[in-house]
Amino acid sequence: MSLLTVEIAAAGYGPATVLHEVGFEVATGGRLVVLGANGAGKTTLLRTISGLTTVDGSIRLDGTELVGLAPHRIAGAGIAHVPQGRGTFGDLTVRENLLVGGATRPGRAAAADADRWMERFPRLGERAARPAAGLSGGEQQLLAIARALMSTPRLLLLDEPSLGLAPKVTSELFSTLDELCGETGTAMLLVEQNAELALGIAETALVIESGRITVRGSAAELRDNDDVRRAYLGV
Amino acid sequence: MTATTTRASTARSGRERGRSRDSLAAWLRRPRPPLAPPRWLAVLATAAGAIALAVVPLVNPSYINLTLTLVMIWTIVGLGLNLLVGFGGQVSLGHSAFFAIGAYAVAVGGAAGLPHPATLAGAAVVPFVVGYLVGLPALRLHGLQLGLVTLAMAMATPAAIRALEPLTQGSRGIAIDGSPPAWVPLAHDQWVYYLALALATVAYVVTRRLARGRLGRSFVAVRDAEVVAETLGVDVWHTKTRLFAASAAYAGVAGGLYAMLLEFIGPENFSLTLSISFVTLIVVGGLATVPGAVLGALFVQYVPTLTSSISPAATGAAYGVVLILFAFFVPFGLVGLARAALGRIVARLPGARGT
Repeated sequence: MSLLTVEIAAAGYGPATVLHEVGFEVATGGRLVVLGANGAGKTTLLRTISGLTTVDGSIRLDGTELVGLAPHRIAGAGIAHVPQGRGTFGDLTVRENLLVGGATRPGRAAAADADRWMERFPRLGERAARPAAGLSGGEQQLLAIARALMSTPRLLLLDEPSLGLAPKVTSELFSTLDELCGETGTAMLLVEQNAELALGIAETALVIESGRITVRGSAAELRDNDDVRRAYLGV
Repeated sequence: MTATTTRASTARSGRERGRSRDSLAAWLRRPRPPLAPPRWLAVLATAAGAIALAVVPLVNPSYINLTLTLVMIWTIVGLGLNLLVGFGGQVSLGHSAFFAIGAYAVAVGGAAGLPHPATLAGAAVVPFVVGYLVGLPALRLHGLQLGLVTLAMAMATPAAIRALEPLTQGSRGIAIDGSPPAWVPLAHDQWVYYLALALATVAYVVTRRLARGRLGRSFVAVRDAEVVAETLGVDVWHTKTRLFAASAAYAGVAGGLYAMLLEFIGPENFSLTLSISFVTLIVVGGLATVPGAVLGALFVQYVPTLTSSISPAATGAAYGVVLILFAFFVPFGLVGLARAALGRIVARLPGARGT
């Protein structure tokens, strides 16, 4: 049974259409990675699911139509978005950043969850009362992911989590992601330039070029696809 | 966004380079946590302050009570405006309009025969509703546009008061009977002082709770990264309209007290200069800090008195110079300076709460 069903005829920003005829599904607890060059429309795809673009089409989460809902309602429906560049609230403390992620939940449950995340990631816990702007890039990415999971989403959207991180930090981050989504059963839609790592933790994959899906299949199939290898794996 | 990044990098480079090699400007700009005095000191200071504030009007000449009451009135405006501008990142140059609406709610309500402390409720409700209605379209605007719309509001206020002559008595001004009810054995200045003290205390406590709670976090999140806050489930639209309306209500209550204090108001009391002094207040006190409203209120009340003894034009110049200096060098205002100067001393006191 699929969790997310996307059937977009067109999506974009006002008169500028970025995505054309994009259709795919994400299974419950599934992991889909979206590959593509810069400007192919990967970020727009995530923004479209979160309700930040104008869409012609249908996007359903467990049968609930999301098109036409305000972004905060989509978040409330069970979709959490980790934006490109992490979107840290620099002037809020680490703890407060987490609590904003729990905006859709009762205060006490959110506070308990924030404490749980800070225990889970001691690097965040040590800085609980410090402004989040002082965290390193990797820590901020970790914070962004924990903050998104604060809403106990059914689907996690991740926009290039590896951006600006050192290779070692990136691979640590991906194994943490793999672990977290495994534990919580959260489905994952991952947009990534680092195809090698992304395909490693994904089940299915898509390639987007100029706003259209050009290749789709299982992660293993894409890894063996010669075109994909040349374009995104650098071999 | 840029401001945040700059501040963040300042903080980081400051730490890396070590304290000794910081330039004075970088030292001033470094963000610092709020002072966390040990509990005994906090209790002692609060008790001493409360006793002093309660006794002061009984022993002072009425002129001093008047200026102290004004400080509390400016404090209330500052608390509300700082929620909007400091925490919420929405610039309003139009709070003199809400201040005027509150003042006239008390004046008109009193003229209609309503008892005076009760008219203060109207001074909160009417600006709240007007603020909500103005906020609906205005908050679709960003930065400069919102600044311009609210600036227009401030500029139009005196003219609007004159135009609504049947209600406001226009340029002739309107009298308010601010004297206490018969059962209160206080002089007029003492009565308004205690009213203002009570309301300023409530406003302060409410604002502090608000700033540290869910709503305050939402305000800052929307300010720092609106779209991100939205995708995390923060209802940006409601956050902003409620913020604008609440901020207007603070200004309205303050305006109501102002009317009761002066007992006579006219359009010239609510000029653009008033709005400018409100903005100066929160910048000097410290944006996005709660105690900043008190320090800023002291500044706008007493500094013009000092400068006007030099020359009547000196007040405007002093505001201008101070705004520029603070915007460039002291982004966290007097509260930021207090944190810089006292932070280490407070941390060394016995019983200090470590952060």
